[in-house]
Amino acid sequence: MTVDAIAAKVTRGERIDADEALTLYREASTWQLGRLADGIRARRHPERLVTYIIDRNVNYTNVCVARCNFCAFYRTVGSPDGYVLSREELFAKIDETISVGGSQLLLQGGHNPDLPLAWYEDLFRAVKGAYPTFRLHALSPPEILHISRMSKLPVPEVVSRLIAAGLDSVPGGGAEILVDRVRKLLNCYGKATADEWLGVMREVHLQGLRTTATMMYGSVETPEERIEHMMRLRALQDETHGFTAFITWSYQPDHTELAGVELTGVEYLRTLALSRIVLDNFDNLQASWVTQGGKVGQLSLAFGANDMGSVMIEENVVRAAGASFCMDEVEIVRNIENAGFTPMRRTMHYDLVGPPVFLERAVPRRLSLDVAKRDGADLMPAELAAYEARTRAGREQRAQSPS
Amino acid sequence: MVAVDFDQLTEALAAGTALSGTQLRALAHSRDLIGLGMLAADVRTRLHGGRGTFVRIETIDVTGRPEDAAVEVPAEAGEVRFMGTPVSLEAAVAAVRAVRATTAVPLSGWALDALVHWGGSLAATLGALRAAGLDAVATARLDRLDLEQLRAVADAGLVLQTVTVGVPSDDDVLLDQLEQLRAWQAATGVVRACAPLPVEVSAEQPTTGYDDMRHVALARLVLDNVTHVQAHWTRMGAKLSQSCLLFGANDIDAVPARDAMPHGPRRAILEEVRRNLQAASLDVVERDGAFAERRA
Ligand code: SF4
Repeated sequence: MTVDAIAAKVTRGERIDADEALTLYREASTWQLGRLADGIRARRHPERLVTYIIDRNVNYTNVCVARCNFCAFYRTVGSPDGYVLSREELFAKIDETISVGGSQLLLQGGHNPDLPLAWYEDLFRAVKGAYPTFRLHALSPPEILHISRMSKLPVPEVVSRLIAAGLDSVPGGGAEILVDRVRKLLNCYGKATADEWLGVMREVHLQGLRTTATMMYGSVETPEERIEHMMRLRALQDETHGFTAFITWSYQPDHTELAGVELTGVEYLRTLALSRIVLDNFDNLQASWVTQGGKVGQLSLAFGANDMGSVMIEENVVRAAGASFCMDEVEIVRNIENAGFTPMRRTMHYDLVGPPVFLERAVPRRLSLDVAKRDGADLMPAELAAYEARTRAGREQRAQSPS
Repeated sequence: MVAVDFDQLTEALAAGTALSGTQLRALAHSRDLIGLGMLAADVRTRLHGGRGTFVRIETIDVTGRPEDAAVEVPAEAGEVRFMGTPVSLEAAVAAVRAVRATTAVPLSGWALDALVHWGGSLAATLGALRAAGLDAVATARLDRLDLEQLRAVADAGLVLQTVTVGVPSDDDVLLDQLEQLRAWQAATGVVRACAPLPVEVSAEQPTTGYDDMRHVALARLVLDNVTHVQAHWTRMGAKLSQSCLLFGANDIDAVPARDAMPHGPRRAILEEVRRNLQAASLDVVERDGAFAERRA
């Protein structure tokens, strides 16, 4: 089928298949892709609202046994730079988040073998006890799978116990590209195969939680594999309708074992636009200004995105790999309005919360992102002594720390 | 919101008809950024085909430069660009003459509004630099430019490499400035390129991607007598430079000729420039300071 015929199909609101998606990606101009994606965005969101959420991207530990070769964030077990956040640190981050109008933590971390399921449950319960209405958008599918393996409990039981402890929704991290050939090359097949990632999401959806979906493109995959990733997400969404949004970002190569180069901004806009066209059962597409910068991030709104993602107070993972763009609420709102849209705060479920916080009360400007651990803070909190460590390094560390 | 008939404008531009001020202002106020970008990209294609050019430059700062400083222009440089404040016109002339003696690559230098303040008449300054071997004034800010300065450039036998925009402005102010430049260019013909993004931006409130791209596209549409619309690699970086190419620019200026390649050869600046041009669907052409193609 020709590009024009496929474009006509998309304009009529019809679904396209993988071959047609590939033809569009290979042969359509960036303008054609943008036009089609913008048309879908306008049909889905005719009210011209562009949403965003105020939350904080917190990484509770950087210790990880998965060792994905595209990751610049993790530290091995026993590493002198390895850390786990204490509850006190986490509560301080929640307080700061609330002070700037936030109501949610995006809580993810490494696959730390020395944190048992009980540690997560106790943490979630403690958060909910202190902040009953605060939302926990936490633990991507590979983390849930890791906890399931460590605890030797099936995924459904782990999910239900985490929900009982306070889990509200699950972020779509760790998807990378949902094709096992790619996952093997990225050394992330072991943490979750494509089927396992989708299986955890299916289970989470069946248990009533909503999740997001992501794609990290531009490492070793082919365009066909990128499209296969989208197709697999689309199929699960048909089945469960559990995804609230899709977020794609480019592989960030700095300080990673895999190294290589980052794909360009135009390739980001093309990939974003193609996602909007293929993922016809996803309501929301986020702009990845964290990897693309504010300018290309804003241009995303002309190429299919209807959401500016999160006003990030803290970010550790992408920054470790070289990107450190920062936009506070004032800046996000300015960019949304400048592009001709109305800004609106939302929840993870995309329920509208209201206009910008800074219009209602004074909020300090933030021109740089916070980090996980403040300088000089203990890297391993004493409270870990209450939990059994699986590794020798973990046991030794706990034996030394004052209880 | 302003309704714009893009098909009609596309036809008018294809027929070589310049857009009216009313049409340009309607375009500037339209929400259809993609429509505007497509128009500008069409014009770029008509002027330059699929070519996307770039130039590698060697920069020489004359501020505090000893008169007998060694001159070593790397073979990668397609242009030598002087900058900085010399102790005197004579020192600047000597620096140009010394470089001219070592290389045949085009030499450009300084900002026109700085040359105005070197003392003496602008005509005399430009004449002396031209006699020493300078080929072009490197840059001029649109908000500090006037017709007399451009005439002085022409009279000295020089050209003006790039006209930039000084500070961020709204669409209407920029359009007024661009239309003024178009008229001056019609009178003098000395401007080779326009880099239509502001050189002074606030870190706290940077210009937005939409504003920048609208301004690049408008520059391409207004300046039908200025051959090149440019991005500036060192000032803008890869992502913004490439976005400019999408919205009507055809050239990347100021790629450094020297690269220590701290991230290895795959991430060399030259490779990054090429990748960005190719990913913008352009055929990569390296040029020199006279906009002539360089062959390996
Ligand atoms: S991406 Fe996640 S799972 Fe993989 S090494 Fe990094 S922290 Fe571990």
